Amino acid sequence: MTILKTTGLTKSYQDSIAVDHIDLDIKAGTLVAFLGPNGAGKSTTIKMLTTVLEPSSGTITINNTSDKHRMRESIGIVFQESVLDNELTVRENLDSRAQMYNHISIERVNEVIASVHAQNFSQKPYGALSGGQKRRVDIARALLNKPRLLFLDEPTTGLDIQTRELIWELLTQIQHDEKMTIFLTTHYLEEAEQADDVYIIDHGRIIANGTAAKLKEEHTQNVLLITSGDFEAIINGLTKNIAYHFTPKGLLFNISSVREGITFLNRNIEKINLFEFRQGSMNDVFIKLTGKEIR
Amino acid sequence: MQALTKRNLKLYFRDHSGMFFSLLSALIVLGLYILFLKNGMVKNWQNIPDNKKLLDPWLMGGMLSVTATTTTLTGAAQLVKDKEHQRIDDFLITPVSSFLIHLGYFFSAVLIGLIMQSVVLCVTWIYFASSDNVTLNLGILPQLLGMLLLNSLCASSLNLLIVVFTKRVTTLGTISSIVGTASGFFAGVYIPIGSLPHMAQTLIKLYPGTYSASLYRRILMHDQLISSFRNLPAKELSSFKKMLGIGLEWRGITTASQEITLILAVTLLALLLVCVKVTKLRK
Repeated sequence: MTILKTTGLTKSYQDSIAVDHIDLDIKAGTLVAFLGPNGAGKSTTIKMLTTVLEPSSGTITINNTSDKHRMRESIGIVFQESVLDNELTVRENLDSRAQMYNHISIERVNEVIASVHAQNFSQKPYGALSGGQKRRVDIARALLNKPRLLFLDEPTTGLDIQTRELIWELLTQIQHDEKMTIFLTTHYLEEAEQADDVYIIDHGRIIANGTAAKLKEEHTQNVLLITSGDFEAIINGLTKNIAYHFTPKGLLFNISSVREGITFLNRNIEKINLFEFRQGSMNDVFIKLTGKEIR
Repeated sequence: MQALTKRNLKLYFRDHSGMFFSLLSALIVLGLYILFLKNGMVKNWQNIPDNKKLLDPWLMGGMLSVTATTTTLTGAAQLVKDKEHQRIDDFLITPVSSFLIHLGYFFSAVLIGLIMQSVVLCVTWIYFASSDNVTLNLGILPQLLGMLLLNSLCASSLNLLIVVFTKRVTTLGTISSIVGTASGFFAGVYIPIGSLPHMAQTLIKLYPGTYSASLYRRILMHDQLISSFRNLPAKELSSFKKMLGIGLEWRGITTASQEITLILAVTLLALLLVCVKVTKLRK
């Protein structure tokens, strides 16, 4: 079942087009990563999908409705920057936001506090929390209205590695418990690896779409780097045309598959002392497609 | 909308320094009056019996006008902070409409103005009662309450009109200092309106807070005006009123009902413009 569908979604300003005819088709219950360099149109797209910004043209359908108000009932957002009030306690923050919805009970506020494990600091002012604790409360806020579709706009930027892992554990658990679809934008490409579906956007257009595995297969090569060995003998012994070049670290081969790499190593077992083998990553996909590093 | 109003009130009353600074203009008005202005004014009107009992409530009127202007601006300023930090987006994704969200900011500003004016009224009342034996008849309370509300509504609507067009907190900081400084002058409390040049008087007459101050003075000074001017010619009374801004001169001297109508009209006009801005212009 499709939870989010857009056709020809466009946002243009007087002298520029921020988002240019984007078509998305997102299946319910999946984790979708939406990647792009800064200024590619990610935030503008998220703003339109979350009904905050009016599209110039195109349609958005969420949970089978295109009515802005009905769409709002099905979505939750964890904003890039925190949107809760520093001066209020965690509970006051969540209560005040809950009261802006029509049918959110006090039990639901307790539920979301429990699901992000925030019971211990629910009476503390939000401003006094650590970065990771704040993020957890932000997630709790987004869960208040039991969204079918949760938008996460760079949810782990600025958090240390342990906290990032903790947040992801939580999100995976919550996604499972609440049967949600997660729409994620991130700067950490390893987070995109676990996505069911990846969209890459640049200059306002979708330039690639597919599973992480498919994108890696299509757009990256495996790299075999011989750092120590008899380079001349290896080159002389090459049976077919394998591309190679010298780098400051050693002799580098682009290998199309893991199997081919193993065969190559076996054949040259006497000539190689040290080597590195690296499979293509989402980072390589990203650089290949957009021509730039994401950070 | 209620939730938002409650939240805004909590934020205002928990920020103690912000609350203090929103009252600063009113406190400066009071300080200047007690330290410098009062002396000169008392000397000027030596011929009027119990002149202190007239001038103290006169100042209270101006102070209340200033208080409403500055505190409701601080209250409404929350909207600019929320716009800058994109908190407004978090409200917009709830089922509450943009119009009701802005109404939430309006109501919280009105309540803040009402509460802070009441505090200022009580404190100055107690202070002047103990220092100059000023007695105010409790019978004026209903009128006063109505005036507190009217003044707060008017100031809130004008300030809301300012903040819906302001995007940056720093810009608003500048606006706040201008409003804070100018409101005392415009309410005619630093210098009585009658002693200003014609040009300045015209400028002051364009400011709605002047009419609020005038209405407050009518209520607060009513009994004392009667008793102080009992044995003086009527001409003295009318020139005194004109000098101190109790009624303002257009083609004649404005009456209380004209002043109320004017304040209501300005309030409605400001709210109408806010409505147009938040419903039509949002892209």
